[in-house]
Amino acid sequence: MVCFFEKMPHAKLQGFSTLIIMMAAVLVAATMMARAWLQSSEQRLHGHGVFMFLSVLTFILNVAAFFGSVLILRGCFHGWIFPAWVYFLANPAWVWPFLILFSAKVREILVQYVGDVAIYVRPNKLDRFDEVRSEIKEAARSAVSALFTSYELKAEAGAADKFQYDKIALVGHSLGSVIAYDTLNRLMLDDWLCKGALQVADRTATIVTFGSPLNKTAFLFTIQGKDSLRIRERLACTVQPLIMSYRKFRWNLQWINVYSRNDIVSGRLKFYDLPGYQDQPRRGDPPADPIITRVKVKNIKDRDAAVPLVAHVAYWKNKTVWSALLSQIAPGTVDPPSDLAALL
Amino acid sequence: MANTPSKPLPSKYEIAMPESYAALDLSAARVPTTEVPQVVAIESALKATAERKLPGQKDIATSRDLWSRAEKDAPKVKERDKDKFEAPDEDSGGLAGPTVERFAGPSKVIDEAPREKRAVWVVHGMGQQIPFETLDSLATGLLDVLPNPEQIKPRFRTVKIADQVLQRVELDVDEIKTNNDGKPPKKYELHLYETYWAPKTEGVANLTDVTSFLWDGGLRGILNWVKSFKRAMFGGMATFSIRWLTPFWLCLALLIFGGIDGDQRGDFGRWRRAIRPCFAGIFEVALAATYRVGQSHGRGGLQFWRGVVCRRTWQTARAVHARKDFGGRFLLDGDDLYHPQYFGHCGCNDGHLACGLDQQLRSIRDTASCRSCLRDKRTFSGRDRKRTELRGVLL
Repeated sequence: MVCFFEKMPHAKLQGFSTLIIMMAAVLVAATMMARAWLQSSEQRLHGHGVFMFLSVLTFILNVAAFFGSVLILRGCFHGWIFPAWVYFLANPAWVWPFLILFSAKVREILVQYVGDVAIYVRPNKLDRFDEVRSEIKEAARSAVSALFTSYELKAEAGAADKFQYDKIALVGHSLGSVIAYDTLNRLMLDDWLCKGALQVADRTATIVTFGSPLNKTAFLFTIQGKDSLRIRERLACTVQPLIMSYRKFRWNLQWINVYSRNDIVSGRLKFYDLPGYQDQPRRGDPPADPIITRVKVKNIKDRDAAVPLVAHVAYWKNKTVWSALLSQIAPGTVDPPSDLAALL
Repeated sequence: MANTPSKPLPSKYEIAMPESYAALDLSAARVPTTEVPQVVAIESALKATAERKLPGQKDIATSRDLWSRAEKDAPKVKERDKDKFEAPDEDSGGLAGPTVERFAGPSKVIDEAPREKRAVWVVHGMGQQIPFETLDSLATGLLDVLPNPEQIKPRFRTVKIADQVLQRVELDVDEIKTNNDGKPPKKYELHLYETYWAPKTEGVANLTDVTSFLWDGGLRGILNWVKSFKRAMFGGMATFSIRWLTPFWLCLALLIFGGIDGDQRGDFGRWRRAIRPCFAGIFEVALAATYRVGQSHGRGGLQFWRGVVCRRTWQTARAVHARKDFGGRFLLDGDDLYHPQYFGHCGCNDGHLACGLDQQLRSIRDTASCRSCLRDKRTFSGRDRKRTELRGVLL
């Protein structure tokens, strides 16, 4: 390994890498400027010629980066030296500022993004975020509660008061899906305590989660241990009506979860239905409960969220989530995504 | 998160007049000890709500009517400046230019046909968020999938429901009939709401909290995989099978995270303190190898990174010995520093770090501290070894 490193044409590789990175930076800047320009002129972005051209350039740059490195390593440019006026490319001085910036960015992402999750998700140990957690839950609960409790006054004598909304949809992205889940559970509990005055289970048409870490939070932060902990687990279940009863709380609810394999945060929600209902049916399996089959979590893939890591925010720009939502809250306005249509 | 529509969205919109709604007072309906029919519960809630109404509540409707009438005398933009102002309604041009401050009335005024009201509530996820950004993305996304978004004119309205003041976007969407069953197409009025909570978490968590959270989650996940994962649900305990790859991904994530964390901070619990150099070392050596191949940093790259690992270790006898060993090994290969291939790509060890980090050999030669070292190879080696040993003892 050391011999291999020793024989590498370091200056040439460094210069070539710097050149490729600089060109990539220019492409990114050009893309952002083109995007800003097209957005401000209200032109259509999708499939615009400028972006097609930039995509082709990006592809060429990727190919050049790969084959250029290989050719340099194979010694194809042996004897060739950088001209003096571009020798600065072979200077690795930029590496350290770059690493410092990278380190700062990692810190920012950890604190700004994962920090929110660390605050909201209860990790089964004492922490100092309980107050903030309660504030977030209360903000969400009060807003959704207002939607469920609002009603229209009698239009004329003898007419009955009626709720303003017969159907309500809850939508949550990423950590928001956990908040939406908690909020719906809380409202269902409140409604249960009020003898179903709000008809939350009846009026919640759908809950749409996308980029949701619900499965991961359930798995990573559940304490499995002594049998006595089952009592604790069962108590935790009692504040989650969505995993308490299909027939009482989920009979009218369509839970749609949109995920992407390129999104490390999200995934198929398997732990919110009875075991086996999220698996592919096998030959010889006993017949499934039709009610559970109808109301189980519909896990559908967003095929347009194709870029790793970026996929976590790509749902907002794609159509899967929105067509799934519209098909449930306003049936007939759009066709549901094909994956969802196959499950319904 | 900003949404980018693939279709031209409506350029026209309306600001709608605010509305107030009554809300059930749930506290009056909570009678958990006895079975109360649902109708009775609602009636009691309605009664409690009615009793809470303020005496002057009807005046609100009156003022709203006044505002609506005032729209007829809405101000207008100057003729010469009309190009600088996009009117809220295309029909609102006049002799003196487009009318400003037009407000849409209640929905029944806009569209006489009854529309079914549906509410959509959205909540954003983690990270940097700004108010109404989520609502904007939701509305844009819905418009984007509708077949005729340019014909829909969104309305923005402030509503008050009980004590809650909310802002919402209203979209009128129609069913598209695919069969001819004689029924008129359904008409919907979608009300979009959001809850914005991002400021509540701003500046609350620090890096220690995040690392603690991630470590706990990762290790707990591995433990949950070792035992069968059970979950209380639907009145029983359900056992779920976990993929065999799960612990592999968790270990990989912890490994990478350990390396990153080693870069980011220095304070750990005692048990983590013990394993941190392992994670940090493995990650950084792996990173160095990648870095070395990709960035052509010379053999010094690996040795430099090893130096980083050594610096990250603590004052144990083994760590001190590792530093000495590292420095000695580098000096044995010190001839490479004078090889033309490495000229300009000087690798670093602890001794060089003391001199000037990862500077080029030319720069080091110019520094006062190293000038004499580099004049004579033997002198350089001896001094550097001594300096390294000193640092190993002192640090």
